[in-house]
Amino acid sequence: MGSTGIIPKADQLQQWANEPELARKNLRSILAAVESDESLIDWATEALENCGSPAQNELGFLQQQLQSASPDVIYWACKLIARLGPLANDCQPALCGVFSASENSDTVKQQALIALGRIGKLESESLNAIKFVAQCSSVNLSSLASKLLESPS
Amino acid sequence: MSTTRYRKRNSGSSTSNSNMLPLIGTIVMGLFGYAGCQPEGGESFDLSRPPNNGAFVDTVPNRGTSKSGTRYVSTETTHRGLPLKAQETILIASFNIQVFGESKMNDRWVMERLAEVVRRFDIVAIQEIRSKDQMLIPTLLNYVNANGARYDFLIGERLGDTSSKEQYAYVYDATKVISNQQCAYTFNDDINLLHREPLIARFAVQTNRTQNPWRFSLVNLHTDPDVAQREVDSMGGILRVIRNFEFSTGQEDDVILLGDLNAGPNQLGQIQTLANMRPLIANQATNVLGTEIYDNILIDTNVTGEFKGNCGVMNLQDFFHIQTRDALKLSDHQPVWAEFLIEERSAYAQPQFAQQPNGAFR
Repeated sequence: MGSTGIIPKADQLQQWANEPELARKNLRSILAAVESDESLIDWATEALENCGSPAQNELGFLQQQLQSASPDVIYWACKLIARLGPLANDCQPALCGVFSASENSDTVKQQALIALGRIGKLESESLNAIKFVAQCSSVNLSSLASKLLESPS
Repeated sequence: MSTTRYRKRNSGSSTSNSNMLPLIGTIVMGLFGYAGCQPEGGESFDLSRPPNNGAFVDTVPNRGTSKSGTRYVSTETTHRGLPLKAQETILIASFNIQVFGESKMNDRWVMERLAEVVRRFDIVAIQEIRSKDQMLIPTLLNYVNANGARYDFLIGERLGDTSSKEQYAYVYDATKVISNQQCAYTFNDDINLLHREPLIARFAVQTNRTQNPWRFSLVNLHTDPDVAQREVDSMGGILRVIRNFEFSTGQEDDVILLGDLNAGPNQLGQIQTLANMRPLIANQATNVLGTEIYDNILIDTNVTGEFKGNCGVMNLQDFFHIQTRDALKLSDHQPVWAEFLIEERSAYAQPQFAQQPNGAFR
């Protein structure tokens, strides 16, 4: 599932990287750039790093991006969701879905764990999914998941 | 060209200090690769011993005396307390050159100004090199050295969790300090505590003004802003490990952390649990918009007595007489800097915090 934004030009991305408000308004285009031309990826990444919390009405779009074919898009969708903290509560099932997709890397799954941690109060289904991750063979992932389970919600 | 990356032992520990043990493994393995410090190209010098470049010459006017008796001068200042480069001091800077890649490399206006920034310092720790083209830093050096300067560089490996990777580099005046690529290494972080593991490099001052030139190690870091607090906390333990390694392999106690920490001086968490580790930039914004302190230089105030008391932020708008929108073409960060003596001072010689033209250090 690709992002639906129009791919911007490099100079637009460069501008958005230094203007968080504009970046937030053009979030979909920036995410489209993340999976596009190599010359755009670095400035798109910078714009995403600097844009702060996305608008809450982008949560539905961001949840869709968790099923993207691009690991970078999933990675950034997790990060953006994480910035909304408890406001992203409805994203819990979609974030847990990141764990079950075998093609997702540990790096991407780690971002999903961080996002769940930022949401705070987790549903029992989420806790079960995290318990499953805590038993996986990846030391990094299992350690992070265990810490999340230990932390008070 | 890439840095040496030391592989650690797989400790498999699950004790309460489990985060630390693999790091210690890094040091143990690092001992074998680091001690020789063989430069590329056959020329051999050993940074584990102080270089001796000739007899001590004391020709400078006397305005102060170091503990060992070497005289030094307070240098002239030009831009918000930033001194001119001088033989008696070393100016170290950190500069996050936002998305330093092809678009900037192909912009002559940008490159000429970046070169001018570099030439104001003896060493610049650079963050955010985002280019697959490994000619980026050599191209910057072409601009820097165009006026006859002799700068060289060390560069780290490409780091990052996504397809947008970053590199660290050190660009240094080879007439003032020596180093080489074999004396630089990327900290090996198998347990993924950091998004971009720091690049550590060892330097020694080249001078005939003292028989005991200052040697030091720099730790170049750019944290992930989304998890900056967690990474800064992790950096406390990592820095402890790096300091132990630097001391055990090179008797190096002057380990300086610098970079874009994405954390203010009061948000340094576990780093400040390291005794006497203090940020030098405390009350000047380091972003071009003038709103945040992201970048810093941290020293152990009990050990790095070479710190001369001068430090600050180089304001790009003021320095080049340009508008903020033009400064942003260079970077969204300002360079931060600190001034050090060229002579090794004994541990526990107090840094000279009395001189603080910018009120930067408290």
